Amino acid sequence: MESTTIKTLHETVLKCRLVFFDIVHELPYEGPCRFGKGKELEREFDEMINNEAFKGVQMGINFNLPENVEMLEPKRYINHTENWRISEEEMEKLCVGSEETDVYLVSTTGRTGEMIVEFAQMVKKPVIFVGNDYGATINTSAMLARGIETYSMLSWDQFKKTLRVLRARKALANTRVLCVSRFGHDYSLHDSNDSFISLDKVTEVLGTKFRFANLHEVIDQIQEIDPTTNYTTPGRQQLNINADDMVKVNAVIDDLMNNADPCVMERENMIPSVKMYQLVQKLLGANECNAFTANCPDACSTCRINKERFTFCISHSLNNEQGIPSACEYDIAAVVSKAALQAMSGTASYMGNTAVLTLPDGTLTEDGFVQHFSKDHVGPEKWDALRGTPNVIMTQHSVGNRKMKGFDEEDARFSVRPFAYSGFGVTMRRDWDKDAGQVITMCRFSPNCDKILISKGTLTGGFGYEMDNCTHGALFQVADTQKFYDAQIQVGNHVPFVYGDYYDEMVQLAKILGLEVLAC
Amino acid sequence: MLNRRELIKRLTIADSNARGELNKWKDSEHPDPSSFAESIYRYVIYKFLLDDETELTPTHDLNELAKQSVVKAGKLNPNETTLLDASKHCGAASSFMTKKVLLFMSLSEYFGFQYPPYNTADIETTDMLAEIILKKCW
Repeated sequence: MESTTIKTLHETVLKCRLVFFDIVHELPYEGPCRFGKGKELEREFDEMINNEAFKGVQMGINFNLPENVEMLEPKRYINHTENWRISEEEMEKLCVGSEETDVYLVSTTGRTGEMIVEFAQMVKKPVIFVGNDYGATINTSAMLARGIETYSMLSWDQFKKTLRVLRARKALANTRVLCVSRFGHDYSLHDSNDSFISLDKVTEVLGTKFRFANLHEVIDQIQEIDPTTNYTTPGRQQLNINADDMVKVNAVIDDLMNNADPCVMERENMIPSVKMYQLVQKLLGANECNAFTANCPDACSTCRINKERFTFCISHSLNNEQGIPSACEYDIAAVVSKAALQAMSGTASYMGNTAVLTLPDGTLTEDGFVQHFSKDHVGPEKWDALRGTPNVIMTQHSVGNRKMKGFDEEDARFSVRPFAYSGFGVTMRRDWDKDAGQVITMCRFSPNCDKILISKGTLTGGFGYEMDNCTHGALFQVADTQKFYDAQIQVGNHVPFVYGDYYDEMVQLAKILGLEVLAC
Repeated sequence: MLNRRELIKRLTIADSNARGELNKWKDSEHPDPSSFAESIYRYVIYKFLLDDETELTPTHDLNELAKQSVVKAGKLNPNETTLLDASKHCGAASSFMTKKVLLFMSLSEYFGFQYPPYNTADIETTDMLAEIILKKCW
């Protein structure tokens, strides 16, 4: 079985096409909707004006296209006149290529509203009305009233944001999550039972698809044996790690050992986890998936993780660095939330246990009602500093990555430390302190996939850089932790984040998807 | 702000100066391209009423000049759109597009050539405009 190349979300391209509707007056006359003198009433004048407007719209669009949005060959209805006849043949020509078009951008020099509406009804694709004040409100409202997905906006900045949002929606529909499960497959019973209740519902709402691999079959395949001799699948050709894979495994370990600051692990202890990472790459390719999660606690209790001396942590870190949303603990809702954020930002994301530490008045909740499992990880100095600092939250899992600022950016400082105290399980830790002050955007879908928490905050630092185990995390401030908590209890624990302010775009995306926004 | 009478006087002088730039080449057999381009630029400046602008942005870009002209028209008298070639399209054409198109039309009338209307938007600078006129008329 050959693996195929993983098509990451970052490669999703939104394909747009401009359709321009001209209006030309056949005869020279003045009246309530037509005015001028001399040359201005000549047909040639209208033709030139149409051409100027068509070119102007094209220039504006091309100058303001966000990354991964492509303009297809524009189409134009030329010579529509004030005899008002609409050529069916010309209208059909405008529709050619609709199957490859994700979004139509329509514009006009005026009085062509009936054609624009009819065109949108013919192609049945989302429409953005570009340019001109009255035309935008007239035609957008006309199309919305007819159930056509239509957008219009007041600035090129809003135009860019809308295209980024529509691209993110397409990326979510292109997301295929590989889920490594031991028991049932929609969610984990012993772990992230705050994840999606029904994956069918998620596919219905977002278009995201899910593929499954059995945990035991996966663990079998890290053995360097004849791939037809696995215990769980005797005779079936599987994707076992082989000599070629081991070259890649050692290259990954070399990179981690040479560049970590510091790497405190021995090569021998790193090999099993990196072998699992390499196997995950093959499984993603073979299943044509571009997102990943595996069931850590259910895997843990088989004792096979302990026997094989690996964890999935480094798989998540390295996946995320390559634009493959990857989350711990079979939390599929976290994976899809990461996909939404990454599709918007074009950078890697981070996820972990997310908990409010201080209240809006700066109170650190230490009266015993809340058990702070991470108090020791945060460390006494940073813990003490929390007192009196309002609205602090932590997100914590040892799955940091080096690409939070962009896949093409220089690697951030990181350390490599073991997950298990017996020395196995590679974890990557990012030095969050270096990025204090960075604005971040968070989101998480609700278990019913009908709501989404969206929040914005500022990174204040991190913890666990020099510790082993699942002790690594980030600290950040939001506007109001009580509001955040009230929203979080409706969506769940792991709240992923990306660097940058994508709050408005995430809210717009949620609205387009028909989700209730829990803004906090 | 100029009143209507003052505005007409201002337009008449500008039109006369603009025409003067073109008349220089009436009997020329082989116009020097560089000097001709400068004349076309001056013609545009007069037609767009930018000749007395002390803070004119130095550009030969027709769209930019047309936009500056729209601003200038607003300063001279925003109510006299008919005199100042502001937008007269019943749909969605802006004033600067109108100015640009009327400029082409007046030049094609003066030099007696037809320019295919669907290509005029590709003429972006006064230099390109001069080059095209030279090709068409000499």
